[in-house]
Amino acid sequence: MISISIFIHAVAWALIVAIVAIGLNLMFSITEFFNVAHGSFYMLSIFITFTLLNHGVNYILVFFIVPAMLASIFMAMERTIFRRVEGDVGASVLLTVGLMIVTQQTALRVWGGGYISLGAPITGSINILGVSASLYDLFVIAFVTLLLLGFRFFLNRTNYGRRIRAISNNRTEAAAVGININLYLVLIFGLLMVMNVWGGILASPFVGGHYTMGLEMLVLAIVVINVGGKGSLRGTILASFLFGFIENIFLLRFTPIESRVAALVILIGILMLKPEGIYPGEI
Amino acid sequence: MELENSSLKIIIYPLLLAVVLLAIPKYLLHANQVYFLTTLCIPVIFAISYNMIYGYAGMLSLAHAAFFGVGAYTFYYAVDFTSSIILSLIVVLILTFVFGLFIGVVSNRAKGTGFIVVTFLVTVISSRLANSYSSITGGTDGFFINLPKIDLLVTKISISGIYPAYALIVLVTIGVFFLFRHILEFSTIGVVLEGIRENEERMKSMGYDVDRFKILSFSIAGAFAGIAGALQGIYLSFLSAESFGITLSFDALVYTLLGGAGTIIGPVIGGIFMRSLEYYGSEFIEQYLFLPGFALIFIVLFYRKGLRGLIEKLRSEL
Repeated sequence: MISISIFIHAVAWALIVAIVAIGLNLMFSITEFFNVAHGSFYMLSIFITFTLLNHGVNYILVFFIVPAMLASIFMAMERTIFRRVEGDVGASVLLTVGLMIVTQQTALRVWGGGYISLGAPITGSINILGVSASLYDLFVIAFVTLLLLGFRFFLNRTNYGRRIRAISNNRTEAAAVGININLYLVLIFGLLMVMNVWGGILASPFVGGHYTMGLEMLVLAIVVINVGGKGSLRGTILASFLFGFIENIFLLRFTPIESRVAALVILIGILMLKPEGIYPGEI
Repeated sequence: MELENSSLKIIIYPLLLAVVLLAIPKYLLHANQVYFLTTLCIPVIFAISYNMIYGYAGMLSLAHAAFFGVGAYTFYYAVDFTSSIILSLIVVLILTFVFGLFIGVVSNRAKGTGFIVVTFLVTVISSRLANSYSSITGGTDGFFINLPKIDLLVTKISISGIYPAYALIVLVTIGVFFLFRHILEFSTIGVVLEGIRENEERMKSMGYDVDRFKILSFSIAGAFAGIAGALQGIYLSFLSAESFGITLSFDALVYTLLGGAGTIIGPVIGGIFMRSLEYYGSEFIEQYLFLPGFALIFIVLFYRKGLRGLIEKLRSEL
């Protein structure tokens, strides 16, 4: 049946949106830093992956080099410039809008304004009980599910995660009991950026690459985290699934742009009914 | 001579400015310099109107590009229908005001970051729709506008030349500037909006209908962003779906912040400065949008008060 393979694809896509959006959400809820440039790093990850693969670098190597590279740049930025606007949502929006414009224009200059397309590293499909599913979709679902479970375990069950949550709850108190705030913030910003970059690399066979695509993903992430609730992991994931399914249902009858708009309008409707999101204020 | 009578001032300053700005280009400047001055006016109107909601009321709206686009297309269809430029501008004003009321009521339900999100989505969705329904908007290829002559009772002026277009646009700009100066500095609305920016709860408990003021200012600002879109249609004689461009909303922010948010002259300085930078910068580097990006980062990190603050600081130190 064709609809089940579409369903599997929708799940894979929703999970990718979720790991990108979680980065935006947690940065925002932990430090009141709203990273508009989040989508730009997603875009950069796709272009860098494209370039490295074209130079014949092994896919598995690329899969680990690119996150390491972009996350270290991001962590350096956190230490130097983001630090100055944390706690001030308006200022962080303005700063990262500037960063987004600069990143976009850099990508335009380096890679040009055209579209690029990347093949999936795993091709082919398998049949399970008469249902055909793309192997790459299944790989994405498996990998992201493991990643999310691991991240949840890290946040809830390890001491590192507990300290990060403590910082998020009350920064002054956390500092007073001797938690090294600077260290943990750099750590979590780096981790979230790694997830974002993986989202980009995994999404690349689905979406291709264009220098404005970061904004596209940013829009999805912003909607998803607001519908899901500030700081909520499961809210973000649930909202990503809602978005993915609504969009894919509309895609059966409408053009891609109309489906995207319809899904956005429905989610704005939810936002009007629940301004705080589905699961507000938890981390 | 000291001008004491304030009602006299209201008439004299704009008139003086209008005479100067009309006479100098007519006799002293080349055609392409006049054209450059014309292009300066659009960002100035855009920034002045944006300053009202961001600088005064403190609402970080990203919906301004949508108003620009709606204004541009309303103008196109109104000119087609009424074949009168002045009438079309009035239609633009009314329709974008109504559009602003609608968007304002919807987005004002969401508070804090929700407001930024909803206004951002308004821009995103309208730009998507404009690119998608190219039979109505002409897509990125756009439409040419056939500009009718302006009927001045005694004579009809063709607006297609560079100087007449400049004259019309600069007069509207002066009008908009003094209108906003009057609203924001000398009327209740300006004071209430500043009160809302500083402490919304206090204004509420003082008995002001805060939401009504916010939505009203949002719609007024939107209406004049629409006028900016229409004026761009006049000097380009052309419009396309790029009038809905998402970056326009960010531009409005950059202009306002760079000049100094919450001041009357700030957005004017910011708009002129940034537009000139883009104009001359585009001769050196193809990706001239780098400039607003770096400008924004620089302002946030080092100078939150903008150019106007810088000028004042220099003046006080001299």
